[in-house]
Amino acid sequence: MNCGTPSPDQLRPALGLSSFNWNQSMDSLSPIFPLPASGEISSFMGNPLNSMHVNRLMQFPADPGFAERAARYSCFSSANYGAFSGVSEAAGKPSRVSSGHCLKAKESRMQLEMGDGEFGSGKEDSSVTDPASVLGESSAKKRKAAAKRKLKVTVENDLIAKKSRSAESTEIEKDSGMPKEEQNVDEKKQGKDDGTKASEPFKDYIHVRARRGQATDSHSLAERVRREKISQRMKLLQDLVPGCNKITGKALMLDEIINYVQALQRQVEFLSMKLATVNPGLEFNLENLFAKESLLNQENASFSSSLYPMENLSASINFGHQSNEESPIPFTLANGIDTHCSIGQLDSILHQAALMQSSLDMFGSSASQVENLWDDELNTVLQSSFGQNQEIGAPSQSFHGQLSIPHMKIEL
Amino acid sequence: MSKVKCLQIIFLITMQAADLSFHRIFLKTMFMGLKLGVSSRKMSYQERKRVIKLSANIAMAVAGNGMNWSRALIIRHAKHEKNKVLLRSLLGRKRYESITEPGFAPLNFTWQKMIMKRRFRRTNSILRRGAHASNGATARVIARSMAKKRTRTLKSLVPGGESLDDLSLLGETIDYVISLQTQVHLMRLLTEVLSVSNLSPNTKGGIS
Repeated sequence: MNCGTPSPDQLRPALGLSSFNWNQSMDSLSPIFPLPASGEISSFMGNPLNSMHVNRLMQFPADPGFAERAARYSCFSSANYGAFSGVSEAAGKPSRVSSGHCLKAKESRMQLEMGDGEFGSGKEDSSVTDPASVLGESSAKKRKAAAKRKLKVTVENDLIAKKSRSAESTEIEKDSGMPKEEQNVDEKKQGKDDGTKASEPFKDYIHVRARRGQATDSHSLAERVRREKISQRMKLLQDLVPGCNKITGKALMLDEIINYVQALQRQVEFLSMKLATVNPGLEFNLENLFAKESLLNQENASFSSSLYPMENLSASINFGHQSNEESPIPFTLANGIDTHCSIGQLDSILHQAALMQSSLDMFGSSASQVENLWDDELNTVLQSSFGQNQEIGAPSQSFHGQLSIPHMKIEL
Repeated sequence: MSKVKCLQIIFLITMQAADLSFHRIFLKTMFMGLKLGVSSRKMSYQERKRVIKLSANIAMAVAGNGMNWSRALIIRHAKHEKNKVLLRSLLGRKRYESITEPGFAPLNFTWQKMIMKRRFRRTNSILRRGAHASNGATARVIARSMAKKRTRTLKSLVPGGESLDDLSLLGETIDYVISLQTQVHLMRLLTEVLSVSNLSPNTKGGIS
């Protein structure tokens, strides 16, 4: 997924919502946005992804703006199919395949979600501060381009927003632009009656022009702005909910959205039921948990900064051990004790656990077992990622064989 | 085993490169919740399912931080007595207190206001329909009421949506839908992983 960086002035107006975060995200994005394009990874996961990209592209309607957006977010949409597969088979894609490999899709999805989080949490959604480009453009193509820019930006934005909370600082400076916009728009509205479709060059406030043959009073203009915003968001939702490409109209679209949300909630219920049955004792394998988390954490530089000393760790973790499981790792998190565990602490704890885990691995019989377990689980997770759910037990043996990376590609 | 290790590392690198901080936060919170909430003593299936669902929802809410629905979801769960202990330990005391304190503006919606609004709306639309009974207007009014009805159900679905206006409601649903999708995906992965480690004979203390 290669999201280019539109210039801030395009960006600003293109974002019909609280646009403050996105500029700064754009600036800081380019060095940071990690495209998993390294050789091994692409060979490992790239081929299925590329083919999926192509497949997705074929599907989308032949609208140029839409196709471009589809190209960028093919993973994104394919992942939707996967998630939704349990509910409707009409997705038409091999659900496993799509739900799987798109870790990038999850990323983009999550990023989209987080970017939406940014604009959703901004409560200064004055109805007037709509981007001129969206309003001034009457053609659907331009609107799609604007929405695409917005999507692109949200994707990039989320990456930054979650990584570093420096979003807040730039929010403030963009926020100062907002009250100005309102006033300027009001002035502008009174000043026009001929109403052209072109939008003025926007500096730091949004000009709203009345369209030709339409009312020029501020109320209808504000309403138009609001309607445009709502339609933008409905378009985003249309991308999210699978199978809604052909549905026009707010009520029907809302219907689909409601059904989809209910379906997702039902799926969560069902999966929690499944989890409850799968794991009767629910003695969570600490090695399992911590191994995965630890390896995740070890790669991540940001967590290494929050290392606590070992004494602190043992002190904070050495609670009573209610479930008498024999784990080679000498610490557990007790049940029902008020541990004041924030996520940050949890991170550091898990990191420490990782270190201890890895040091324990070097000696002790658990090493080979952990490795086997890890292999099995990795295998499973990979398989689920790559859309193969048949006979999980059987391939695990083949996994232990001599499986090379390109070989693996073929198998999966 | 070196090739397998290669694959593991590649898998992890892709996970890292994709920066799935949402996933990471979700998984951590979920594991934490499961660890704290489920003990071997509790044999009841219903209770276990409840704890798992609670963990999953709280994990999603924690991972989707900064959104209106996130806070509303946590508050909704915090109302039940049974969940309070688990919530407090999952979130940390400070966060729990700050979230559950009343007085946040959109959530401080009064039911009185809503009832009045509804009554006003209904009488208005009835009057309008009776007074100007032309075809076009009726169709539009009906369409509007359809949309309004659906908006109302959407508000009931999305946590914290009752006090939002149309525009921000849509924004919230976008976010909520995405995180629901991620939650479903992660939970599915989790069930698969756990069921596999059930099958495999080599699990040391995996499922005991």
